[in-house]
Amino acid sequence: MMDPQLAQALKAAPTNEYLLQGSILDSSLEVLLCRLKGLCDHADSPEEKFVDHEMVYAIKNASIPQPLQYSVRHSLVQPENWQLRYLGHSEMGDKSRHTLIRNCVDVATSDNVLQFLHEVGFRLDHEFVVKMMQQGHTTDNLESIVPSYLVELSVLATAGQDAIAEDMKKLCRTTQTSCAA
Amino acid sequence: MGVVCIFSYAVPEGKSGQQAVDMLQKHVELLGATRSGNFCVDCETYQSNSQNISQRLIHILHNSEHPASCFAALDTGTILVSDLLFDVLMSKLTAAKTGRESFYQQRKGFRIESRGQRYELWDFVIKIGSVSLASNFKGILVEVEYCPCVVASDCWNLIKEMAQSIVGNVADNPPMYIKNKTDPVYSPSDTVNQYLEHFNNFRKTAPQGQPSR
Repeated sequence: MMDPQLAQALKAAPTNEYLLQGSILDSSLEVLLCRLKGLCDHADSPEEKFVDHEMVYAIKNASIPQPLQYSVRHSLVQPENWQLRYLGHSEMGDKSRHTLIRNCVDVATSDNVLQFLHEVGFRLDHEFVVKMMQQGHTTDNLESIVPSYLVELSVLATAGQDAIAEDMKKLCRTTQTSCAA
Repeated sequence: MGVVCIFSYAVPEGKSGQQAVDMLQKHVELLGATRSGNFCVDCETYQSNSQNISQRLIHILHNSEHPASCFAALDTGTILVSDLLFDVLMSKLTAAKTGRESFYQQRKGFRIESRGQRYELWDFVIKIGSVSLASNFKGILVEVEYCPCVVASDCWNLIKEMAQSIVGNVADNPPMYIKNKTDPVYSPSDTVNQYLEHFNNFRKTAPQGQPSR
């Protein structure tokens, strides 16, 4: 049915997200950035800034109590960039794992994705703006909700690469201490 | 990427589909065109389940000319161009679990494709495809692309001259889709839209000609 080459490409696509989340107070931001800069390559080049508008759309059906959600991510810095994202539920099961694992499919799309979703039957559920690691909340004006930052460490990989979770834990340990003070 | 015009070539009476394709290929090769591989444009159609808010069709098309892209065309005319992985998102919409329906379902026996030889002739790319609906031969589509230009009205006369020498007077007028296009700049979605129009016409017609193989 599907082109075998295509099927293979889809199989090889990294669709598993290993995720760790934490939060820090505004006052710790400088310390964390400094620490991360020290750990990363190219410490002298300026860090990449981002402002992403994320709109979460849901489709419902009488026989399906759980709506299906897709989110549209639109970069406000590079407005020609549109992405459609599906996030699965996080995998339960193995409690010894260090990170969350969930299905994650990112697809770059053309700029008419909002109209497309609407016509397919999706409706806007909620939206927010993520700005340089700061999470805000959109009403008429952009307003930050709490005086803290969300820190997300996410790695996309193919299924079964649990060694990544271990590496992520180690990285978090090295940054954790700098923020705890 | 240039401007593409697609013409439906009627199989001459007394000939099979395969014979007509062979004839066209020989003709194009005599013009001096060189073979440059195979091509395929395929289309799968999904319809919304009755309980849904509105009745809607989604056509998912792939074009071997753009192997990393997936085209999702709605019956409203909206066409979304995205990465190949969109197929995975589509499978979430069509997945039915026990005790609950999917949001969309595939129309059985509706898969249609145009498959055949790709040729290059100087600034032109010519594709001769035999169209099959659920593996039944339905007809022949000839695609003529003029690569150096993206404004359809500026190069129609060149395309016309080339196309007429292959498919005859079917190419006297530009395809309706090109004629009605408002945006002067041609894009890959326009090619997909033309294929979709032809595919929809083929789906409506009763089987014609003899099976090609």
